[in-house]
Amino acid sequence: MTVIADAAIVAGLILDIIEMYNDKGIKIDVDTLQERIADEQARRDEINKKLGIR
Amino acid sequence: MQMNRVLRICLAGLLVLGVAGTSTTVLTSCTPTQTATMQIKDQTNDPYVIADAAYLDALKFYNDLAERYLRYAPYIERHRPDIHMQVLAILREMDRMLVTWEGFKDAGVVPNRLGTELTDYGNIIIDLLLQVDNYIEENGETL
Repeated sequence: MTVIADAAIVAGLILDIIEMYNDKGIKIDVDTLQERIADEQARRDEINKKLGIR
Repeated sequence: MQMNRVLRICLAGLLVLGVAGTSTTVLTSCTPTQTATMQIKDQTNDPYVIADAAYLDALKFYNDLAERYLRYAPYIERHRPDIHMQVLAILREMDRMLVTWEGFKDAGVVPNRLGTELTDYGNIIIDLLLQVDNYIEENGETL
């Protein structure tokens, strides 16, 4: 049961990533561009810290 | 098991139709939803601002991918620690590419080659995850 659940979880991750490729879902204009870059840089630092990257 | 087989066939189809069809254009060109680069190009011709937007798209691509992986990393690590290490190595390389990209951004340049390489690395991660999915199904009884 656990094995099937884990296989489904991994399959869900793959589908999630594929969906991500097709969804750029970002609303941006020139005035908010720098703020958004700073937000994403902070997000990247946080993710990297959790994954042990850098 | 039958359901997993059907799911795998669907995934293969999606990979061919979805990812392969759009991967080279994901970060810099027309896609079903607009990238930051496309939106900013509609608003200005300033190459530095456009380069900032392209960098934002690359940054967001990495973050979305790495964040998704982070949520499921314990499952991958439990079943295939070797693949977990490979994915981390790829993410580390992608992170280095973003550092390089930042230099291009500051010079007002959009490095299209780096954009293609980033999406290619994303495709490699998907291939690795498919291997994990197959492994779990095929070796389930020994776990």
